[in-house]
Amino acid sequence: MKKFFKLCALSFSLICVLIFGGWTNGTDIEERYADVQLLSPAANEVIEFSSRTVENYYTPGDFPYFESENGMSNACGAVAGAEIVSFYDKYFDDLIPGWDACYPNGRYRIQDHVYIPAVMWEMYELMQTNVNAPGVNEQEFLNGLKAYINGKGHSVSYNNIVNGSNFDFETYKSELHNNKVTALLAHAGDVYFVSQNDTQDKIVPINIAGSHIMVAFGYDIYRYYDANGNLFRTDYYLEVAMGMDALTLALYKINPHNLSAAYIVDIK
Amino acid sequence: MNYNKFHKFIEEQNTEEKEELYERLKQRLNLPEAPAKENKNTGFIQFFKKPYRIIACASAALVVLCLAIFIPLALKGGELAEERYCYEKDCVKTDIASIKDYAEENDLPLLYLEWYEKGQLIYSNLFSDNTEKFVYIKEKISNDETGDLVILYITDKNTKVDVFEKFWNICDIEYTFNSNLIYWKAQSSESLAYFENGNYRYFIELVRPMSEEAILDIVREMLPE
Repeated sequence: MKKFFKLCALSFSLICVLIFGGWTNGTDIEERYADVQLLSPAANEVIEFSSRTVENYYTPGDFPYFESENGMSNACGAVAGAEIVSFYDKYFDDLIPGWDACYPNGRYRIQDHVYIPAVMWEMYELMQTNVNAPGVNEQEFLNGLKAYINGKGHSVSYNNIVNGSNFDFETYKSELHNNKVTALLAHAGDVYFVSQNDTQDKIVPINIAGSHIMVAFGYDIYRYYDANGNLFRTDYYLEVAMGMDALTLALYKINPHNLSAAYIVDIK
Repeated sequence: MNYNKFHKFIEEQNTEEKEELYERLKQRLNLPEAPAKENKNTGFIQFFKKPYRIIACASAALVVLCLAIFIPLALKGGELAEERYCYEKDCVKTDIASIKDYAEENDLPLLYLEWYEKGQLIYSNLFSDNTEKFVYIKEKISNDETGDLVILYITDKNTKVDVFEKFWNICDIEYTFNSNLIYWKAQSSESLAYFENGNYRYFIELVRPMSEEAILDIVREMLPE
């Protein structure tokens, strides 16, 4: 009798585990984009080579680099949204009425203390930042940005160029040359600086310790050759505006990438 | 009592008997033991009988005393103070008007970029530790004429902060200007530089430089002639 009860208890536990496991696997934990820490990993990577080429491009006038306003928390969605509309304000100046997107020499302006904070706070609210949970999720970010653009009388379309481990770099590159920027929704991971030297490059990583939204507006392709002229390594980086107080601009590696999505934003 | 009469009597006896007689005499007269004779050839006093030894020891003592007084003073001056490593996330951030105003209010010889009139001060922050002790200053400022965006950090020479790691990792070119040694590196996305002046260390980040040596123009603009 004792053995029978033990067997029943074991079977019941097993069934519970199976049911619970199935339930959790079927319920994806929602990814939210919020404030993140920057960490400096200890090890840099050194690449030695005989020769190296760098193919580089970024949008004309560079990019408007913003960061969150005092009083905002988990605001990477709002900052990215404000940067995107400020970028396009160069072409559609009613996206931010009264704001001159560029300096006289054609470079994008950084944020001021009047116009851009107002845009950021509006984005913050339209994206429902911190309303349902800390930060924003993907839909809240996209919907909030769309609501702002529509509110200014314009339309917007999104084209996600990430499919699993694949990043459609050719489409990204082509659209970039048509003055389209891309919102990156990234899992925790590294961004980089590349310190170039004659026969070796030092790859310096900075770890983003959480999910983060940033905007890509350029690319760097590093091709490394050995003494025989053979190409032995190619690194693809996107130039990204980090939208952070502690980090303005960095390189995001896409081979491989650690993105949830990458939306090319097309405003008309 | 006439001790000498007895003494003379004993001295005229032979040795063995003499000793015995002396002993009996002492007991009967309750005389104390004769003091031991002083050995004048060894000891501390004998060492200092030479004048030059006194002078040498006094000089050595004076040197030790001076070191005991002046070394702590030198250490307190900060030249040999212990280095500390701080993390930005552990610091308390407060807004200040600008580096220029902070330097004037606190009478500190801080260097800064005089762009306040021709550009935009995005922010100027003071970072302190949990004891309110200064860790570093960070100022983000733009130049409306050129569109240059600069982030400037200032700390003291005994402090290292994690936000400066990328400067040490990347800035591997040396340049000297007005006796100031500057470490720097130009990249297409940003140029970095750092140097020391007085008791402070300066870190400069120039976003999207318009030329390879644009960062050095910024540094030269900051340094006194």
